[in-house]
Amino acid sequence: MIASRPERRCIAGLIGLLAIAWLAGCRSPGARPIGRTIDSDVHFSTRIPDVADYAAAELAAAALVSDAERAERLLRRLRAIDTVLVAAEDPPTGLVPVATDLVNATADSARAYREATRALLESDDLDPALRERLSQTEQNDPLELASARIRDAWLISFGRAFNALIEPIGKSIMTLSLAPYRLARSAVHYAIQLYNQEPLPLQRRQALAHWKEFVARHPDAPEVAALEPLIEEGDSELAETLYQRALRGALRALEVNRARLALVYADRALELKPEDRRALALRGEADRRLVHEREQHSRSLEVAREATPLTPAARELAVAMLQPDGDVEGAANAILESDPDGPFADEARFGRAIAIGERGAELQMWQALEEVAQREPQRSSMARHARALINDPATNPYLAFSEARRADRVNKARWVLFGPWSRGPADRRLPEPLEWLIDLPSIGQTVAAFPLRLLQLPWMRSMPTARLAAVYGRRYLELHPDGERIGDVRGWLLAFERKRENWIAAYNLALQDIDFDVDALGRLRERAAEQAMAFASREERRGTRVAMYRQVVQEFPDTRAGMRAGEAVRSEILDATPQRIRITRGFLVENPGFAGPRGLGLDPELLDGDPVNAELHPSGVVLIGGRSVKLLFIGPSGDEEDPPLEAYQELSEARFARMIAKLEETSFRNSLLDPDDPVVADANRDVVFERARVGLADEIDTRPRAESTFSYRGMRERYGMVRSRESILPFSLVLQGSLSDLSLGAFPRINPPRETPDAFLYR
Amino acid sequence: MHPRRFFGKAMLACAALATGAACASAPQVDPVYRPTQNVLEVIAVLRAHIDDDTYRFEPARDFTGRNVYRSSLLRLENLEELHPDALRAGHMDGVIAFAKGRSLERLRAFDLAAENYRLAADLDQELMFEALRSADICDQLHEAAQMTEELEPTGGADLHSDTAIAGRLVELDPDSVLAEFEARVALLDGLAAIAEGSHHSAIVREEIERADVARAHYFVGIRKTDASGDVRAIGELQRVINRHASSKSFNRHLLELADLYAELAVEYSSANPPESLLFDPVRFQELVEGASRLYEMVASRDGTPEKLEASRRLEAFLAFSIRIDRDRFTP
Repeated sequence: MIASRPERRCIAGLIGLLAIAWLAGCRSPGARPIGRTIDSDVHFSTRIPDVADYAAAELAAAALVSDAERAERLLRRLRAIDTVLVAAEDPPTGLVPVATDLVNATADSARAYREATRALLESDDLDPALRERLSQTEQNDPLELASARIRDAWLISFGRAFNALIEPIGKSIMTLSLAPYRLARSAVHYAIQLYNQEPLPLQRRQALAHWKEFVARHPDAPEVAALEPLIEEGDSELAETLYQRALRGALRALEVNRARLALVYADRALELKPEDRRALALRGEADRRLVHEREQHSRSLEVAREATPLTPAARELAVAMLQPDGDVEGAANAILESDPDGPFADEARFGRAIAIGERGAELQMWQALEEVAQREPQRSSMARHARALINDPATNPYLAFSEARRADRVNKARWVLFGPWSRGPADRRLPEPLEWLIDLPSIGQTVAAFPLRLLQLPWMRSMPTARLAAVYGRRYLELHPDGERIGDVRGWLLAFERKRENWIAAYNLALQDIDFDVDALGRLRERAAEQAMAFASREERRGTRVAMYRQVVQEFPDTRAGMRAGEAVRSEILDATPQRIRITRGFLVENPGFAGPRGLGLDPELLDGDPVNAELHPSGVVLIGGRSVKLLFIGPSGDEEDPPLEAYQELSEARFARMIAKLEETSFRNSLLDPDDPVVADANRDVVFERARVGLADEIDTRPRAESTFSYRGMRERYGMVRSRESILPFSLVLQGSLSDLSLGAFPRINPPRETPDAFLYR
Repeated sequence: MHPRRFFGKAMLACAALATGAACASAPQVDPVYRPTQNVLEVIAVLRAHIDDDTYRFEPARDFTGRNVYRSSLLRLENLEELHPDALRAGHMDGVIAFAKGRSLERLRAFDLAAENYRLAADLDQELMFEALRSADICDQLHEAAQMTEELEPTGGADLHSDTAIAGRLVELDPDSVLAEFEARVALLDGLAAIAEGSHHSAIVREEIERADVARAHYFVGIRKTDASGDVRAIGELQRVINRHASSKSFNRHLLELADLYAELAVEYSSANPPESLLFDPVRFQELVEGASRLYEMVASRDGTPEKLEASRRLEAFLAFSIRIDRDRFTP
């Protein structure tokens, strides 16, 4: 029976839906290409040079032998050729701009060349890459660079003043009553900034170095006369800056009672400003403290003038202490029993305490030493020795551990109460009470947020004091593997390592505890293995990575991560190639000149977007060492996310060398055309390329350190469709709101210019 | 078609349109001249730096960030590989060979530079005179470089090679070695007079400096074999500093002397432990001051990488001196 109309409509609708779903979900299946994908032949027909080529060659020769007159004449000839071509409605040779640059390069000095370059940049027939290169040449002038840094310094100074005025006004649009307070506060901060500003800020320091370079390079230039006083002034400001830094260093060192360091800084300040009163005063103070320190130390070496004669019992104790198996405890007890308040009683107590410790009674030893230490130092000769032993973290790490934990708890409590102010006010190089006073309004707001910090407390990261406790804790475990407080210390360390997710350390601690729960130990082992595996996979050097994987296998053989590490070792060894220089599909698509016959010589079908006739995978092509190339294709599923199909091809020497040459030239040109695509240095890659150029590609360097994993990637792959751009304006518009006082403000803010990449050489 | 791919193609088309629009102002030129244009461009970059005084100032870098001479050489090789069809006629061969010579002589490959100059002289009449003159200078520079080559550490892959060289140096007679170095410098001094006024002058001065440094390194290498070896080594390094005060490597020379002082201080404290009775605080203080003053001097020179090296080494050296007992040494 024929289906009724509604039923038929329903079936048709279903089929339609299925078809749409299939069409939307289907992918053309990928395939491996048939035959060779890269054309290894590189034969092109010879081009016969014409008059323009010969003129250019002659011009190059004239420029190389500095025959400027002949070079000019040949340049005129090239111009004439172009004029004729243009008149005949043919495209010009394009040789004139670069030939002009070559003639300019024969100028007598670098300055004259830059002047000529500036003039050349005025012309409108320059290739964009040439224009960019010439612009870089023009800007690479010490005077230009110095002026740019001076501008930066000015913008920073002006920006500070501008922001200090505009920001409080902008913030007070809705709360005008607060404007005077905000303005006053901003003015105070600005004044402090001015007070703290160094006589020669970074940018002016850079300018000074550029001026000096200019004078050294061009001592006869007319600008030198104007620069010399500037350099003199800059040098004196630089000396003042260094002097102030040395003075601050000396002050800081004295504050933390490091007299020797203070002495070094004070001497440095005196070298810059001989006879300076402040430096002399600081040096004097450091010297006094050092002398005092030495006196204190030498006091400890003093010997009592009237020495008490040695009793036979004391002699026996001394001998017992020096002998390897001496009965120290017995000799000490004999002294104490005969005369508990005698002249050698404290020595006996001290010796007995040490002997107690040596037989393993650690707690009892410290207790005994504490008793000695509590005696009056004037009466007891051993009290200070006992105290020194107790307070020395190297001999008594448990006390240091306990003290560090206590300090950690106090620090945490202070942080909850006062937030960042728990570390004190911001350092503005002002007297501390004044610094507290300036920060007082902000401290009030921070203290009010105390409940929020209380909520954060359980998830808070460990404070530095906790790390110190961990150091002493570990030292205790090393010194006393069977110590009486081992449970306490190990428990704390385990919790500490767990909190910061250092599972390897936690597992090693748990291993030392024979009472540790077996299931918990198993879980820790799995986590430790995962962590070790993650460390290994992050390692960039293949040799080290494989060694780390092997270590995971050896240490955690029965864990999931251990199994994976084993597989990783296997795959690393099987897939290892001397090189892994990748050229992605994105790069090939964006640079068809390189992908084509003059470069890689790739079959164009591999980039036509149709997987049926084989399509290159986004991972593209990999240079794996020698002249071998690995090509990656989209797999049978047609899905780019799936593992690619691999094919290998060995290129002819000529094709390989040409491909390398084109790849480099393409990346150089791209770097000039796009500031976001700079030439990235990779020494190993460059060695491979150099060897290829001179026909040594087959001599493979198999050392793991010689491997390059550089990737040539397309711009779209790197930055996506839309690249974020930095504003060219020196200011930004800020919209700012505050929940604490329900205010809303809008104001322009002048952004300080970015520091140049070499700024770190001027600090 | 896969929707993602369709979207990708559409976006690519848009990007291509945008690129096209952006490049609309690029001049239309005949692409057949591209190889000639590229060669001219590389030579222009090189030519602008031929007269640079690389003895006094660091060699320039080109837009790729590489040493301009090395970069020019590599780019010329690239162009030869890329445009064999356009350059096969040989009209640019002389020019390219000459430019390679100019690059190679700055990279201390004097023998290769001379070869390229001779090739250029054969191929191009216009270049012949200057090419042959340059080839002669490069030959002499090569000869000078070879004279004491066996006395210089190679820094090869064998970690013990320098030790082996040091062992061999000890067997030589210092007077004859000194005579060899003096002969090398005399040859270079003669060459300096010939090269006066040309760009080769800077190269010759660099070679003289290199010979002086090699001589100082020789005496540093054998200093432990003679009672006055340390003093001689210090004197030789100071000689380098005095003779090459205007060199770009001046800071490096200061650092080397500072390093020697620091090494001597470490050696002294090892041989005479500060707690021992033989330790002489005054002697130790002299060595420490020698090192730290030189480090400080270099650390105060803005804009040079040696500044960082010096300041970090100074810190490391002070950390070492803190190890010394306080009653034996006070910085």
